[in-house]
Parts: sequence; structure tokens; C-alpha cells
Amino acid sequence: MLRFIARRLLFLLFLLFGVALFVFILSHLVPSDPVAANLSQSALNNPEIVAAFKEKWGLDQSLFSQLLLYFQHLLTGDLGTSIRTGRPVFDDLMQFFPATLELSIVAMVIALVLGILFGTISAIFRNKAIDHIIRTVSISGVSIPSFWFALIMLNIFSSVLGITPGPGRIDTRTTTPEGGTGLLLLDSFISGNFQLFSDVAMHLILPGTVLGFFTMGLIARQTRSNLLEVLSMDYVRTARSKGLKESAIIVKHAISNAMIPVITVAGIGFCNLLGGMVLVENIFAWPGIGQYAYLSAVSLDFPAICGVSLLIAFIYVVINLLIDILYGVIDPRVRYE
Amino acid sequence: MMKKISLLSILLVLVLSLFACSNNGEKTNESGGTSNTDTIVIGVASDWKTLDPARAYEVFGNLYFYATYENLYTLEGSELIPKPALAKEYTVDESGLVYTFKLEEGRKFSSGNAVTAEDVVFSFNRTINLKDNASALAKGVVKVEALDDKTVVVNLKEKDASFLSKLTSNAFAVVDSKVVKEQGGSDAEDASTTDAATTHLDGTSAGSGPYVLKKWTPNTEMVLEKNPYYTGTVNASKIIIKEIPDPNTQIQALEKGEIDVALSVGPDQVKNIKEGGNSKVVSSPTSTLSFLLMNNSTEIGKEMSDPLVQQAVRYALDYKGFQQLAGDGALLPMSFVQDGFVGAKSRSDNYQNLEKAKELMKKAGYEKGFTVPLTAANYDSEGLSWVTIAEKVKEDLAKININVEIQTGDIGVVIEDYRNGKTPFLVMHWSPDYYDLSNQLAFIPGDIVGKRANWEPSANAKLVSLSEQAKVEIDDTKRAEISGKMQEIIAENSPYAFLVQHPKSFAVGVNLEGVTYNDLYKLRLNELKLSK
Repeated sequence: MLRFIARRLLFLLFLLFGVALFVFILSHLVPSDPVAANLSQSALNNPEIVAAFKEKWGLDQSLFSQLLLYFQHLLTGDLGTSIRTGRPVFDDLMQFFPATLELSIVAMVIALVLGILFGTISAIFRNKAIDHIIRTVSISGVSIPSFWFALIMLNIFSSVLGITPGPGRIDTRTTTPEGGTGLLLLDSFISGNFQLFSDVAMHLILPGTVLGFFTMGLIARQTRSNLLEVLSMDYVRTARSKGLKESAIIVKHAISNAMIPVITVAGIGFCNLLGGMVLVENIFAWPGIGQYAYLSAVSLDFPAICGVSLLIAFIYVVINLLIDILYGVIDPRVRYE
Repeated sequence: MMKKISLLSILLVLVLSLFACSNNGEKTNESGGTSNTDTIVIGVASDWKTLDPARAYEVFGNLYFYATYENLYTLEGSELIPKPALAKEYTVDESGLVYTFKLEEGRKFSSGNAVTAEDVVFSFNRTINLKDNASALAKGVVKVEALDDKTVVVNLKEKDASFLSKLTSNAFAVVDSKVVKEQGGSDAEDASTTDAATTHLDGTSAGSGPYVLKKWTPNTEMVLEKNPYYTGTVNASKIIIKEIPDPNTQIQALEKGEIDVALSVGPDQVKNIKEGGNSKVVSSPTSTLSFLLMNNSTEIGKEMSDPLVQQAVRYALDYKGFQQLAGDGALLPMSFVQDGFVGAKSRSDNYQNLEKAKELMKKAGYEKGFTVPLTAANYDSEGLSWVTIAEKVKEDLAKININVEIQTGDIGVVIEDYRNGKTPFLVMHWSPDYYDLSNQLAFIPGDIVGKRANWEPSANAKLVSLSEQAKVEIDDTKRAEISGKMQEIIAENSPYAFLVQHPKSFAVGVNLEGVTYNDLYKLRLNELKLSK
């Protein structure tokens, strides 16, 4: 097991190197100039300002020299300085990532709970009305564009019904507390500030549901099909013939065996959440990594783009590693040699 | 195991929901507004990259800088004419190159330090030597010196009729030199490599404006609190600026009373504001001008480089249609000088003339028309999409047999081609860096935009000569005359068709007072007031 994890972590290093190289080259192939993207019309006509800008950001050097310098810094853990914000990319990522992580976790919890629940109900009541309803909802979850769904949900639940608050992580008339982990739910809980905790929780529900809806659809569909397959297996038939209650068969024997593919889908779903972040964060004014990535991309902020890519690649690999480890926990037959 | 995880998850969701439900409706009163009239919340989709006045150039920059810093000269209300601020008066010598400013007495920075001539000298020199975006406006300044505590002398390289206008921008905001130096700031010639004060200025302001920056989290929020040393009007003691990128979300938050101003919205969103609700629409002219560029190079522009075709295009366009698209408050300037600038002229009501346009097409040898690609970036001017503009152009030009094929693209790529003069036919906008006729001279042959249209100075020597006069003429009446002549020439003979001067439409809570929009600083935050 430990050797397996060590091997995967070694692979992670190579992967991050590859991602950094790929993103660096790709972002320099874009037919657009970071000088033009970051200097005003008047400044662009001033050769002194253009030269100072190029010197400051190393753009006066050859692409190869820039690449070498970038990797030299990367080896010391320095992700560089963002051209757009003027701050170290690492600091920016640490500022924006907790908001995204918090939202992703809530979205994932919603997706898992509802997905497994709906998938199970759907399998038990196969081809009944409830099955058709759940399947329709699941397909909607997979097919509805997240930004459109976000706008509709915000309009219905926030503007029309007034059940949930509007945009942001907390009430607009209060300011975000500083310090802590940046995970506001956790920070407010630890500090015993339950008013803030409830405010943060309230703000998480709508974007969390919108973001989790897609993954929920995937998990529900996967749970249903796996459970149906498991329920038709010999050992289930044997259990039934022994007179075991249907609920005991499903809970004790069927669900755990149907879970391995669901975990794979959930892992992929979690990674997809990060991909769907840009639009959802935009609509809910969620100051996370999605917005940071978008703004960095339009400013051709190479260090920031590379930093975000490395972070996302890191998360993908770590999640896949966790999934592989979970296989073994759920199914003791899985070995890691 | 899975059962435990599921149970825990359900428990977590239930706890969240309970907390959430207990919170519902607690923050706002019945009208949807807040009971705290001392704090105003503004929703924006800002473009702030830095809050260092000697570096910034972003569109929303002066919303912040006018709240926290002061300049020698400023703009007031919706006017674009410079008025004294930290300076009480100025004189200019006979050469027109030496300006002497007398500072107001008793002005203090938020640190309690007095505003002195030395602070002005430091601020100007720092802007020049940082060689960042803001430095571009200080290009003509060769020397700044303090004669005494309250007298500053500025020497210019050449006469500049727009100097006072430039002084109103953040590039010339006066910083507390003692504080900035303590934080590693430098005004020396090597400041571009040695100055280290930007990080400090991104977190705390060092000006004498009505507010002090308490907190700025990029892409999230900004908190401003009243400057205890400011002696002018300050209505709200606290301003919170929240980043809300999506305009529809801004409107929803406003209608719910969660914010008091939805600033970054466009004509499409304000249409949804219902009368008698919690919010109202404010529309005001801006200096943003949409135009079509027809490349003058025969190799690049092909048919569009023909002056007869260019003139036919101008006659074929339905300007009133563009005015409607841009929304309430949109204006139709005659050509490249916006309403509000010296000598600005308006387009005549019956300018569109299809018969004349068709005649010109025939004269150019294109009676049967031709096909041309029109580039429109996925971008907007004050909420009006460039692609929508392009669709209207296509519809109008079809009437004179020009078949327009719209090509959309990323703004970064489109701008790059535009700046290199490679685009044959393009939808573009112009938003001035400072509010003076001189800024518009970029459209003259051989100048910034002129080059992008491959319009060489030799193409119109008279226009070039008038432009040189406009740069240095200080007498407003004479300058207005020169401006008028240039507008008339460009309206009839140029590679541009100026479409519309955009309005800024945004929405505010019905109980918000003191809302006057200015294209430079957007809103004077200290004048905003919530009625009880």
C-alpha cells in the first residue's frame, strides 16, 4: 500500500512538471500580447514604459530563458508573481482556493447524499413513476447548463421566494473575516461565531446545490444501474431465497457492492465541479479560484494561469489517489501490488 | 462504512439547513433595505489591478482614488471641466510651459500630516519614474519643484492644452510622502526597480480624500471608512464595495436590498427594473464612443480602403437605431469628438441617406456590392455587445449591397490585430485616458488610431496641422473652432464611422441620494446618502 502511494506521488511530480511545461508553452502560443493586455493605450505608445514592463516581467528575454527561469523558481516552490494582481501567485491561490474548496465540498456532499438516495430509490422502484421522475431529474442534472441553472435558481429562491440570500459568501453588508483557514464555515464554527456560521451556511446552500446538481445526476444514474445489476446477481437471489428482508438485502449486501463504480464517478464528478466553477462562481459572486483563473486568462497572466493549472492537476491526482485507496477500503478484494 | 458517510452527510446538510433557516429574513427590513443608513454597499464588476495611484489606469480606478486621494485639480458633478481641489489657483507663464500652483491651507492626509508642496513633488516624480501605466499621462512633465510649503512649479516639455485635464487623473493624485517613503516608496529616477510601496498602498490608502481604505481583497470586497481629517462633506461613514461580476445578479441583489448601487450593469439589465419597486435607473452620458474602422491599406482593407466606399458606409448607417440600441441617454456626435469636450458637434438628424450611399457605391464601381468580413470581439461597450452592433451594421449595409460576414473573436486577439493595423473592417470603441480634446487626436492620420487604420499623415495634411494647433492652443474659443473644423473633415473623409456615444445605465436603491455620474470617477462616494 505504502509503495503504491509513494509510486503515485512520484508520478505526481512528473505530471506537475508536464503540466507546467505544457501550460507555459500553450499560453505563449496564444496570438495575443501580455504587454498589450496589461498596458493602457497611452502607455503602449511610450517605449520607456513598454521596456520597463517587459523588463519587470522578464518578457524581454527569450522564451527559453523565461522557461528556464520559471522552472528554477518552481523548483524552489516559487510560483512567481501575478502580472495582474502584482502579488505572489501562491498567496493568490491561498486566498481564492478556500472559497472554492468549501463550495466544492458542500456541492459534493449534496451530490453524494441525493445521488445515492435517488439512485437507490430509482433501482428499487424500477420502471415505476418515481423511477421515471428521478431519471428525468438526473438527466436534467447532467444536461442543464450550470450558468443557466444558477441564474434560474437565484431568481426563484433568492429574488422571488426570498428563501435564500443573494450573491457572495456572506451577507453583503458585512465584511469577510480575516485569518483562519479561509473555510468560513469551519472558521466561524471554531471561533464560536454561530451567527456568521448560519450566514455562511445560508449562502452555501444555493450555489452548492447548483454546482452539485450535475454530479448528483451522474451519481444517481450510476447508482441505479449498478444496483440493478447487483440485485440480479446470484448471491442476492440466494439471500432472498433464505428469506432475508428486501431492505436488509439492499443495505447490507447490495449497496456496498454497487458503490465502487459510484466512487469512480463521484471522484470524476468532484474534479468536474472545479471545471464548472468559473460560471457558477461568476453568477454567485463567489470569490474563488474559477474567477481568479478567468481573470488571469483574459489578462494573459502567465504565472497565474500556470499556478492555477498546477493546483488543479494536483487536486485531480490526489483525488484519484484517494479513490484508489477507497476501493481497497470498500472492497477488500482490491490489492495494490 | 458508506452508511456512516451517508448518515454524516445527511446530518451535515440538516444542520446547515437549520442554521440557514434560522437566519432567513434577519438582515433586511421590510422594504428590502438596511436599517443602517451609515453604510452604503455598492455592487461592481471592477477591473482593479492595483490601488497605487502612480500605477493604476483601470476604468474603475478613480471610483476608489476620488474617494481616498485628492488632486490639485478635480472634476465635479457630471462635468469634464477641471476645477481647483488641493490647489486654490494656478498661473501659467508666457511660454505656456511653466505652471505655478498655490495649495489650499489646512488640508491634511488621513495620517494627520499636512499636505505640502513636497508631497506634490514626490507624488508627481514617483508617477513619472515608476514607468507604469499611470506614467503615460505624466510624459510631458520635465521638472516639478516646491518653491515653498504651499507653492509648486511644474515645467512642461512642450505646451499642452490638456495639462489641467490630465491633472484630474489618478496619475497626479497627491500621496502622503512621509508615509509612502516609510513603506519603501521612492520618487528617484530608478523608482521603477526600487520602489516597494505598492503592496502597502494596495492595503491602505495614503491620501487626503474623504475616505480611508480599511481593506481590499481583490475580486471580493473593499471597505472604506471616513477619513477623520477630511473637512468636506462625508455622508456615509462606511462604504463597502462588493465584487459581483454578473450584472443580472447585481440587479437581483439590489432589488432585494442587499446592495444600494448596481454599478456594472447595462441597458439590457436595467430594462428589468420595475417601477415602484426598491430600485430606480440612472442614465448618464459617458465618453465611450463606438466606431467602425475601415482599413485604409488597399492590401488589408481592399474595398473598404476606398474613400468612396467609406463615405457610402457612413451614409448607409442608421445612427438613430444605434442610439436606441445603446439605451436612454445615448448621444450621436458628428465624428470623433464626444459631447462634453471642447467644440463638440452633434450629428444632424437626417444624416442617413441611402440614395447618396448607393450613388457613392456606384461611383466607386461597386454597384452590385461585395462581401467583407467585419470583426467584432466578444466584448461590450457599457453593456452593449459589439456583436449586437455588428449585426446592426450588417443589416444596414445590406441595403447598399455590402454583404457583411461577422467574425467574432476573443478581445485579446482582436485588439492585438487592431493595434497592429491588420483588421480590414472592425467594430471598436474608444474610451479616453483623460477628458480633453487632445486625447481624441489619436484619430488623426499617423496618430495612435490613425496608424491602426493605416491612415498616413500624408493623406490629410490639413488635419495634421489642425491637430498640432489643437494640442497647444489654450484659448477655449479658438480651440473649439479648431475642434469643429477637424470634426467636419473626419465626418466626411476618414476611415472611420462613428456610431454612438454610449450612456452609462445603472441602478440604485430608491432611498439613495446624491447620485451624480461622472465618466472619470463614476460616483462621488462621499456624496451618497441613504434617506431614513
